[in-house]
Amino acid sequence: MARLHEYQGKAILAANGFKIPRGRAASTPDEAVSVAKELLDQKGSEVVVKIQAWTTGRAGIGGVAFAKKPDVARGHAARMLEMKVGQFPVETVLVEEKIAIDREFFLSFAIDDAARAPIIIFATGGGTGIEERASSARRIPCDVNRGPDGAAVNEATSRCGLSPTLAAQLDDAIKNLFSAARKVEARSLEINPLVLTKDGQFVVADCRITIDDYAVARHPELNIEIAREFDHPPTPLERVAYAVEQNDHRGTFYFAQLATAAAKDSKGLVGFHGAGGGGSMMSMDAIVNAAFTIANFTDTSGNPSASKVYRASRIILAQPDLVGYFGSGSGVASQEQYWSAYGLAKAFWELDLNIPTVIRLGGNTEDRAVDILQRMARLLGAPIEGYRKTDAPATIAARFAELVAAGKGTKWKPRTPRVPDFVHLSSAKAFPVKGGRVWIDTACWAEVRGFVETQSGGLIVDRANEPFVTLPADEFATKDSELLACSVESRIAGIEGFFLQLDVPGLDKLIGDTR
Amino acid sequence: MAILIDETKRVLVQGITGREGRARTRLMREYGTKVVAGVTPGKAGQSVLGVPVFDMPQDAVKALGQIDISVLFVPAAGVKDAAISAIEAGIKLTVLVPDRVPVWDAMEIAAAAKANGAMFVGPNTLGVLSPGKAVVGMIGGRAESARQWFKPGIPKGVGVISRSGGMASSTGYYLGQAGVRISTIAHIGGDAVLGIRIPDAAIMFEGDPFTEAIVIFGEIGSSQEEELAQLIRDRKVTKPVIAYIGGKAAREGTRFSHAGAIIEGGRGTHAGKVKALREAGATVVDAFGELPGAVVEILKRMKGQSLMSEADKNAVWNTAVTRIEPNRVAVRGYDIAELMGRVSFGAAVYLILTSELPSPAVARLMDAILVSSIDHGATPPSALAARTTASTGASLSAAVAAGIISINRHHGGAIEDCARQLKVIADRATRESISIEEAAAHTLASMREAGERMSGFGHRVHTKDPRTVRLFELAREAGVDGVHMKAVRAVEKSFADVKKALPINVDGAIGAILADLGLNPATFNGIFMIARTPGLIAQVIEEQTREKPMRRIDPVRHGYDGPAPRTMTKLE
Repeated sequence: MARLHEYQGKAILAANGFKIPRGRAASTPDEAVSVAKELLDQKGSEVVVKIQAWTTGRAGIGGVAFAKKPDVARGHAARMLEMKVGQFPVETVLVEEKIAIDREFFLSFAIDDAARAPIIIFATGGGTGIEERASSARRIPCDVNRGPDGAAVNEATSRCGLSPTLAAQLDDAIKNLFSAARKVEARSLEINPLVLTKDGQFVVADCRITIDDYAVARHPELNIEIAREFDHPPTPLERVAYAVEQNDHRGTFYFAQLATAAAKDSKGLVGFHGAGGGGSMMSMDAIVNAAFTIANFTDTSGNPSASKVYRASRIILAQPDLVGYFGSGSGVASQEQYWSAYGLAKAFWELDLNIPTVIRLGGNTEDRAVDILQRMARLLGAPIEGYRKTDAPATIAARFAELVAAGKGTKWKPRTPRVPDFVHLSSAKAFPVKGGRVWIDTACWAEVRGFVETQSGGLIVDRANEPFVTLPADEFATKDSELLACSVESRIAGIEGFFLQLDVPGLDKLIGDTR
Repeated sequence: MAILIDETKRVLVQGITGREGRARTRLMREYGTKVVAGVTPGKAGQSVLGVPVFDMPQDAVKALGQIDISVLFVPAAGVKDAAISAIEAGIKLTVLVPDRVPVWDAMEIAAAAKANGAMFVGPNTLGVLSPGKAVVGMIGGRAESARQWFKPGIPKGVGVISRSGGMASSTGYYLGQAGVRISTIAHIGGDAVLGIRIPDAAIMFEGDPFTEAIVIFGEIGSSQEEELAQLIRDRKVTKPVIAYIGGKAAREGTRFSHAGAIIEGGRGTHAGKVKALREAGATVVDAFGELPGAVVEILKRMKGQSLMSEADKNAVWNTAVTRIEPNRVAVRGYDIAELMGRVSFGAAVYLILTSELPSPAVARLMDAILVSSIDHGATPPSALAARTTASTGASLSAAVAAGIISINRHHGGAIEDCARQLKVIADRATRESISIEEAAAHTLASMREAGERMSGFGHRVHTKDPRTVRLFELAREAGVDGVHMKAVRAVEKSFADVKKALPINVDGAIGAILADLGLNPATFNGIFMIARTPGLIAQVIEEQTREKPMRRIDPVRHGYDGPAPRTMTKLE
């Protein structure tokens, strides 16, 4: 779930009928000072400076501080903008007026998976420790279309000892909470606390909001860069991967970096390439149990295109210091596994892979998949082994450990992909496909045409001694997987003059090192 | 039996004209799923793999009658509207395959399902598969693999519920390798809001008499496993539960691609789930590899019928007709020694073709059908072909085979053709809400215009076929009077109305009766072959013993010198 910062959440709530404290976000001490100056306009007024980070208990780590003078606010902001919370550097602070609290309430919107409907949890008294007071909380069921159950809302607010006017305001707040959540398609929206001020107003003192990842595309107004929940800001590599996923919806692709260095006592950092969430988790358990550190989590599943698997592999291999590449999913995949094998084989060749690689491609067409990997392995320096559904993750993890041990500590150095030399010749002709292009060397077309006609399944044929594309250009462009297979087969057969080049935007720049 | 899906369920595919829709329709049909219709807005009138395409689910329901399940292969953004249109068309189960369906859309689908008394599976599900019966979704990927991987739950099986798609197949496969039969595999989906959840599926398996135990591939996150533990404690689930919970190594807050596998606020931890299930009395294995063994162990202890014999385990393909073991032959599950002397041949034919024994009255009807077609003299093409072949010196088998070969569309085929045409008339009456007589008159009129003829009426020899009268008498006794019988009478009346005396012939009568009995029309010509074979043998033997080789056989000018007319009264 994509998380928003407190100040972003407050803006959404303000747009939905809530009162929020006066104030603004600041990303430099100077900005913080200018906000503080605006707010410290009356005698006795005070501001609060808060780090904007996805964590609870900010006060306890020095992430919340009060100031009566702009310079004090500057000091707080300067200190806080140097902080790091978990893996997150603090990039923003919120400076707002301090509010005079009379009473506090807890108000939380969530999705009740058992009821398959939204729910609002309400409790008197806010602040930290709400989890411990769960028994006093009231659960207000909501209808997805009509909102919170009116009777349950009344029942909850009428027992708080509030005047009818204030109770009615609280009713509205609960309804507004639902509307706000619905409008931005929140997965959760917690106001803690909702403060009743001494002058009788309900004000949002703090809030946490997460947006449904799958709905982010419908909400450009939220400016969410990556609809994913990370425990760190997205790394450059994760940004590259996310763009790949967004550009190709054939199957699932998920990439997250977990570690950039091997843990102490670990046998080394491993590039992990899974397929399917459940099978990937089990395979990761196997590789962790074999005493390796997993550099990344990657999942290509749901019948992905060969190009997607290729790009995933390229991204995994953009991580330095890997001692090996480990691929394993559920093991009995419904998808046609040979497409994945072609994608991997292409990446391995282009990067001239030289670290131990174990790939389990169990499921449909597993024999063909393993055969593709084995044939490619003969062209490369690395030991590359393919396995099937009958091979358990623990077994292949053990085999992987053997190969790594035999590899005498070779560590992977990311590199840009190689392309055949003919691509640079003037005789090379390019045919565009989705995210890349097919290169054909017209100078040797006569020698390769038979191979290309067969291996491309008739996508490219000979017409008057020239390569000719048999489909309309836009349709041909979607045949990237078939052409990828043709490209790998020509590579294995040692046939020059045909090559599919696929782009991974931004990746080469990240790697820096070129051949 | 099974839960959610079997071979009798009528299935609609939404998004059938797309890449996935087309590919999965092939899988489903090849595996045995009754895919009756497809939907893609704007593509009504097309067909995909022979399946008619409609604009909307309600159009399909209107044209084809009740549809039990709709399975969706549409882009995530279109899932909500597509699912609600299926639910509002009265389809009681929708299977939402797509990934990335917004959670608010899923909640709206849930509200619509609740309001209409419907259920849904998913979103983000690979579907549901009942081994040997049918599949909705994409479990197995191809029919051939699905048949090889998952062992049918006959006589009984274990139910599999998985929160992971890939592991649904894996669990099913490894159980099969360990000799465990499966009633149904349900991948319930990986999203936050799901239609059928683990507790719901467990209750269904509890109620399925053919499921002996419930196998769970659980995951961290949500409270489904804990709710299942509560059902076990409340004795609402009493069948053995064997579970593996994935995600032990996952850190809190880390997510592994599917939204389901996330621990939120300390809820749904690995340790919590394992503890809850174990305390309730379920078996929870620590490693996935131990799951099949644990299931086998429990089935052995309960003397379950879900375990395969060694021979079945080693099988590379299966037949559902007859099981042969040392000293035992079982036809469709019945010991042949028990059948012998107790059921007539007609009843046995019915059994082997439909997999069920007929009632005594239906058995009499089957016998009558077989007797009615045992021979029709030396003039039919099959008898002539058999005799001609015999006269060349061919063996009995070759000569009879020649006779059988000539039983085709125009000889014997009228049984099947007539049954299909009667179905068209009956469907038309339902679709246009008119009487069967009107439907018959309209259909015959349009057939006349198109120059087509109605099969099963009129005879080159008989004006009142003696066999027809008797068959209808027996059908009445057996209570066989369905739409085909009604249609056949309507057609006869319609011919009479236009002053065309075309009485129902024996083929028409048999076609109507067999179709009303629910037999597969593809077997009708075969039933005729079974009936006619004794006649052909008699014709061939006579040819071989009484006639000269290579004689010229006159098809018309031949006499009869057998026993004089006689009755059965003396025998009875």
